[in-house]
Amino acid sequence: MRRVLLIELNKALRNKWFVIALLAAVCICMASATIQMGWDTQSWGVIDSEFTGLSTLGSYGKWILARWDIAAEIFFLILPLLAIIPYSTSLRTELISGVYGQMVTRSGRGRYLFTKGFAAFSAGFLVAAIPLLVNFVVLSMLCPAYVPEALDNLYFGITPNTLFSGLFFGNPLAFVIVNTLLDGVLCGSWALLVLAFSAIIDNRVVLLAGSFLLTLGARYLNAVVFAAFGVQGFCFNLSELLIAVSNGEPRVLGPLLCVLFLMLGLGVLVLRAWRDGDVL
Amino acid sequence: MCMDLQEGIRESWKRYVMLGAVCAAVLAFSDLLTLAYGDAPTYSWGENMAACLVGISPYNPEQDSIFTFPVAWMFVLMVLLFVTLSYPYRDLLGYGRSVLVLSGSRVAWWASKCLWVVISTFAAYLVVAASCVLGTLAVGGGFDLQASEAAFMYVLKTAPDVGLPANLAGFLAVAPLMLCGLGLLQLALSLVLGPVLSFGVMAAILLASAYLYVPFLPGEYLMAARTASVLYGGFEPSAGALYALALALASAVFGGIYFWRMDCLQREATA
Repeated sequence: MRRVLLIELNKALRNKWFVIALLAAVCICMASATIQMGWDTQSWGVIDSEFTGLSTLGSYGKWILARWDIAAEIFFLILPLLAIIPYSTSLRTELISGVYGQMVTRSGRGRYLFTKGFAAFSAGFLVAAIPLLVNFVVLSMLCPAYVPEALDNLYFGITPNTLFSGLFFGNPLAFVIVNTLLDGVLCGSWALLVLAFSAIIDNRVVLLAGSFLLTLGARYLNAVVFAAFGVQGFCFNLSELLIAVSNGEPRVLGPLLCVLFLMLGLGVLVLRAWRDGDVL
Repeated sequence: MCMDLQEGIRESWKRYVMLGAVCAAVLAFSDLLTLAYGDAPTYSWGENMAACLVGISPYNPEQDSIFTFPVAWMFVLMVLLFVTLSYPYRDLLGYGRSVLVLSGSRVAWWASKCLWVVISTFAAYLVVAASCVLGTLAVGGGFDLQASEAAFMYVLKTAPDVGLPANLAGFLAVAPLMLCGLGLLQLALSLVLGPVLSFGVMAAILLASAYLYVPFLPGEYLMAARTASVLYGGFEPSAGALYALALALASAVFGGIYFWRMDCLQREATA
């Protein structure tokens, strides 16, 4: 089991698509950091005196999950696509090439699918988590780590209704860690779900692009359809669940956990149901 | 070319159905929201087409605090681009590779694929138009291309500062041309990055078009809320047509040059 797990992790994290997806995500996060630094450089002259909104100039206030710019918009829009590119079609690829049959005869189907799912989850997790951390580290190297002040609430997109807002103003480093882990787990679960469906859908481009369209469709459902029927107050689409500061419906813990467990549960169920199928 | 049309339709017909369903849903919920405000949604065909391609008014980050993600517009356009996404690349890895070898001409193969993308995009636009015809008939609207005050209020969501009614003919004529330009750009990028990453790049371009307000972004000419007949100082359809033609030609030429030099045998059937 350990050997198979190492093999799968090696294949997931040392393939060129993981590097490409990760690089693309990191570049967009760096662009966000650049934009955030560029906006407020004219304010550095008054840094000696305390003024309203000072904590927005710190690294926590400029972090990609706390402030808003075009790069952040693009990042959270295409993050569900970048998370599934590295390893979510590996099952279908190995079914086509015959590698899957070779592996399961040596390690067992359940064990192999578990390790493959774990590897896909890990790839998705890292594609989300690493760029967020890189963005924070870069900002921390350039800005002071002002603890966000509740009085500057107007300048942040974080309101008392925002999930973990208490952490943001009380322990902002914990806010960074918790949201990074949360986004990583959401993207990892999403990658696992798409991997499960790759066992059923043989066109890999349709699977990946169609999954991305599904996230857009869910966002449309949340923003327009539910609003038309008067159902409001929470978001359940993956794109907006990744964002701490949403311009649409806010993140609420209950629906977030429902979506997370639904993705994980459905992914595991589909893999389990398909496990004993014909691999030839 | 005939084979491309036949095979392409065989592979993509479900996507046309999906596009029609998405447009019908967008129109239905646009009408529902109008009803919720207490007005009758007797939109004309032109107004329904604008509802599918409305976009958002120009966003100024220094003045406006909230960027409203144009989710309906993005969804319709991404489904439209999805129609022409996978067939050319998939064909290159399969039967089309044999055809390429037998024909002995990369130029002919590439030209055929470019033509297929153009025809498919126009066909997809016709599907959108047909959905709007059905939507217009369902609400008892007319078949003119004018945007009324109700359309400005509930569909375009902007003040009619260029006079009423606004003529949407120019915008509706340029939209399919710009979609062809984007489709060919996606085709060219799919050779370099693969179809999935090129799809992601298209999403990023469209989102950037919505967030920014600059004439060199293709998505600007695909938003009814930013066309010159709707918005004072908006984008002229004539400029959009020239830009679409330039984009299509540049994508076809540079994509063709890349394809001319590309190793077709080592391509993977993945992202």
